[in-house]
Amino acid sequence: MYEWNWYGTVSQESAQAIRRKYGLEEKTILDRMKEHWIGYLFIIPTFVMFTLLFYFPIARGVFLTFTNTRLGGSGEFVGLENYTWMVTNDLFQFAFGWTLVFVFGTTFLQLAIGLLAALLLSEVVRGRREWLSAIIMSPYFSAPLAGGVIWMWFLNSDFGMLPRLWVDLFNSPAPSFLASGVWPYVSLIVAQSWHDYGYAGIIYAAAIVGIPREQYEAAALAGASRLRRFRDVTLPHLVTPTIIILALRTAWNVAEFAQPFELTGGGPGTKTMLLSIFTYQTAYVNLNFGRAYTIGLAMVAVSMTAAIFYVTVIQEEEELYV
Amino acid sequence: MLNETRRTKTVLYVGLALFALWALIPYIWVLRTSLLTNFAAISSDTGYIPALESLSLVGYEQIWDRYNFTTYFANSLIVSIAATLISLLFSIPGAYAFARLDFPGRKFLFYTAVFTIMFPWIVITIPVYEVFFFLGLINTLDGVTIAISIFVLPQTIWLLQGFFRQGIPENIEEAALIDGHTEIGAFLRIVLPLSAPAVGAAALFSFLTAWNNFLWVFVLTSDEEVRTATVAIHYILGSDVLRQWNALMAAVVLLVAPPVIFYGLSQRYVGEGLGGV
Amino acid sequence: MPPAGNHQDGGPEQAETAEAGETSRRTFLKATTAATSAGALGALTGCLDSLSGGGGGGGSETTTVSFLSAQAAENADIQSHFQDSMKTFEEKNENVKVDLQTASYGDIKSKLSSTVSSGNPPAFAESGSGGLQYFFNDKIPDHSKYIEETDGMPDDFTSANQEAAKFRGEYWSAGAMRHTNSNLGIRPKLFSQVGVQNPMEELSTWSGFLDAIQKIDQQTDAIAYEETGVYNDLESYWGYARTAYTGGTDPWLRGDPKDPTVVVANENHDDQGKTDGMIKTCVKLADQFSSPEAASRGDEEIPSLMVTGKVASFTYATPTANRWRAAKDDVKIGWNGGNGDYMLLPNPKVDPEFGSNFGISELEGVEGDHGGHVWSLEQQQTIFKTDEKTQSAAWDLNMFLLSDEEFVLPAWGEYYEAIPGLNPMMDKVLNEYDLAQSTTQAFKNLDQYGDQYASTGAAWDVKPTDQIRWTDINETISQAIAGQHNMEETPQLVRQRIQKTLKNQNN
Repeated sequence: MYEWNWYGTVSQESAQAIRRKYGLEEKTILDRMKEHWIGYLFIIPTFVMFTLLFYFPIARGVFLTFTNTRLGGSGEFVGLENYTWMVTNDLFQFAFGWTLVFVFGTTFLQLAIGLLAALLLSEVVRGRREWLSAIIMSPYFSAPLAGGVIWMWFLNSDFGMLPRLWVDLFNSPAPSFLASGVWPYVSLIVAQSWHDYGYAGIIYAAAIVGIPREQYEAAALAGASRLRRFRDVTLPHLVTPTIIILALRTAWNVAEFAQPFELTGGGPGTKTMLLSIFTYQTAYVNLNFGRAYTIGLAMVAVSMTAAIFYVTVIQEEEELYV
Repeated sequence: MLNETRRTKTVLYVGLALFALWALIPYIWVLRTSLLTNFAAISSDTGYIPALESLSLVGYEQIWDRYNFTTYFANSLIVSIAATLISLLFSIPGAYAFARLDFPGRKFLFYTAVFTIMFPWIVITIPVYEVFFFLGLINTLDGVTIAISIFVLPQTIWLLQGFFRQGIPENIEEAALIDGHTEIGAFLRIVLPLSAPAVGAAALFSFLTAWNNFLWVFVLTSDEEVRTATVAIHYILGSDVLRQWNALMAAVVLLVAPPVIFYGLSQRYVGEGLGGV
Repeated sequence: MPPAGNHQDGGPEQAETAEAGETSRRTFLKATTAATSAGALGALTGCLDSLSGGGGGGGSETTTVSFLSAQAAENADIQSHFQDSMKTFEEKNENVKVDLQTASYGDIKSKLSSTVSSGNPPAFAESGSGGLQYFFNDKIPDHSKYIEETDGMPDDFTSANQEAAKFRGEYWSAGAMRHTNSNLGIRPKLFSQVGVQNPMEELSTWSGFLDAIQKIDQQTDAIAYEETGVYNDLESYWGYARTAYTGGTDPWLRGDPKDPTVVVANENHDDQGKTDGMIKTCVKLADQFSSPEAASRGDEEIPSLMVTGKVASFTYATPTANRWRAAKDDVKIGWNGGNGDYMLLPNPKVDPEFGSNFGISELEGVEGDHGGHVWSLEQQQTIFKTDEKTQSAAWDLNMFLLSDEEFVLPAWGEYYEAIPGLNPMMDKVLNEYDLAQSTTQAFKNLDQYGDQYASTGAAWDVKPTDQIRWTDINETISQAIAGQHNMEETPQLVRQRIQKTLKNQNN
């Protein structure tokens, strides 16, 4: 079990260290079961619901990737045909690459902007802080679907605000933010970052508030500069939130459908096709569920790989601070 | 924080102002459009700040009068609150068990639970529908509530277990164990109070995820009596209203305003923990 | 947010040594744990009971027809008309109750897929082309039996409905309650500005139209012609692809549905030039005259662009005048002495000189006729397999929607101008209402040019119709408009994709 280098083993090891100290080590599985039976009680409700709504549906979904299921049918077993179709499909190859760029760009920006927001807000006195944070974090609370419409309207070449401002300020025609050159890619990444940096911001803010003030005071008394205090006191407390945010946001940015679908729908042409939109199109335009689910699994593979990567890398990093 | 100089203070507020601008600017354009008559909304003669006579609530009137929004908003509220409570009841013990209780199989269960976060929902809509149909929960608010509370669980569990782990500085746990507390005692006395901000954040995320949820309400219901506001507005966005920008943007405002206002208000009432955000 | 508060001060484990307040907290914790596990399990078992009562059309007397419609969600007017009409239907049919459910056109396929797959289909639904898949998978009965029982059907069906509802000899659907068609839409103000005086005459050929939009392009700031080039709105192209032909010849697929001849880029086919020429025309028109957004432009954006004078013409014009009033209350529809905001015309027809005028060699010497796409496959309504009683009640509802004047006339004459699904209704709508120029002209086009207005894909009778229409043809052309591949290679690419799809899915 311990070859998994996931986050969390550290505190578990420290608990072990404590036990060792008080002569509590060397337990059998049975002992652990007896001692922690309450764990099962706590987990069972969740486990039952997960089985019904996740494990069973996921197993069915995975099964469908080996069939040629189309709309309304059950389909026949076709082995790896959907997988060979997928990896040899031009549009899939493109969408896969662009999804990686999109996810990397948005996740990084969301993290950076969210952290900056949390740090700035932590400096503001209580009272003022509440309403400022309500404003600054607000994009996260709009439905992703609405986020797509909001940005589509904001960037609209004919009636939008940004192109109009551009013309008035620079006195030259505005680029077509959702159509020409690299603009649609930039727009999608910026809009997605706008919508979701609040997630990182709120988690970071909760973590920063949890840091005992004494640690700052001690550091300040020791003559540490602002930057140093950030590095020595704040940063170590942000490692756990960072892992949480990175893993979750990566997975969600991979799966994000509503906002990019409203914004460009994969267009113009198929220039901004993301895996999520491609999945939707394969299922509900081409009515091919077997293939759509196969693309879905490719999305899962991306999220999983990223999560394992983060946990491994940051885990090692963490040793530096603890 | 300490020894604030005037200069750093200025930098701080300029930074915050820029942030607020970045957060609000796209909204402002939507709000402006929603308050205009249909032609003024697209006419290039309408200024950034429109003249008074082109302002109108007609977009809102059209959306509100013609659709059954009282029901939709009531449904949204019921579902969101119920789903938040249920998901916390599941996730607090669950996350604690994952974070602290060293029972056999813990890791395996944890990783499978985390794995579910990675799974794009679009791939499991049909099997999930089958389950709810089998349970007789199609087209009911109960069904929607159960679905949403379970689907936000992976994120709340993942969020909370991280904070539960980190909630105890080593020396405090040591002290607790010396005092003869079991791990559960340590959890309730020490971890949970320290994790209050995280519990608050988890509640907030659950509520908002529930409010904004489209997919499960869409998949599991078709009657208007159990429709939530998000799905109702999605349908409006997909209809002929698309050609009428003021009404469309009014619909967007109606969709976005409640969760944003809720977040703003929750700042005052949720208490220490979340208030710090 | 009770949990945070409730747990905050004090541990249940302390209760052994502490006061009553602690005990109650402990009870609370126990209760919550128990309630969650028991509640979850209880909900599951408890709900099994309710299953027995949840069957098909069930009761002893009343038959309930669940009806899933997208049309009923298109706009608020038509929505309330549907709600009222369902009551009218119930009054006219004792012991039948209608459970009206709605989903937008964009969502109805995904809505249906989950309900049908798990054995809980609506009795009657606007399933569109997806219904064909359900028919293959035996979820939909052959509708022939019901159609034969009526007086005038299938002859009363519009030709678009006859083509769409029939698949290789069987009726998989009950027709569509309405159609729209694609036509040329122009802004009179801009066309009169460059000297057009008689649009019916001057814009009746592609050469004439080309001449006018070239002038608009040079003399004004407007977008002379805007392609609605996002793949799911490229029916504009489907419409004018027909104008290189006469007599309703299909530009894409012909012959035995099980092994059809693909005309696109087919070097052994006489008509290759006409079909390829119009694909190239589509790409070139967009390239020369449309905005940079053309490849992602949807039709719903056009009314506001045209009433504000930003767009001069497009070919996705449908009969629905309401869409224009939504953008501007006092919109002037029709030529109005060259002063109108919007006017509907037949799509131009290909004339012998157009090929050389526009530099499309394949079209030199070709002469076609006016024509367009008729939406029909998209709105087909189907009865799903349930019990006999429910199925026949669903059929009655279908006939009500197709032929009851109380429903049909206001629906397509007033709330959502469109072409009714039964031929005899067309004149009645025209006579009953004072319709806008765009609506009457769209009706007239369909009537006058007959076969040249058809529902793309309906006649093919191949299994993967949707993928060929939306992905193989439209998405490929949309990519070309977006500059992802060039005009010359586009027909060949379309051909390869169609052939691959047919090979994999048409057996």
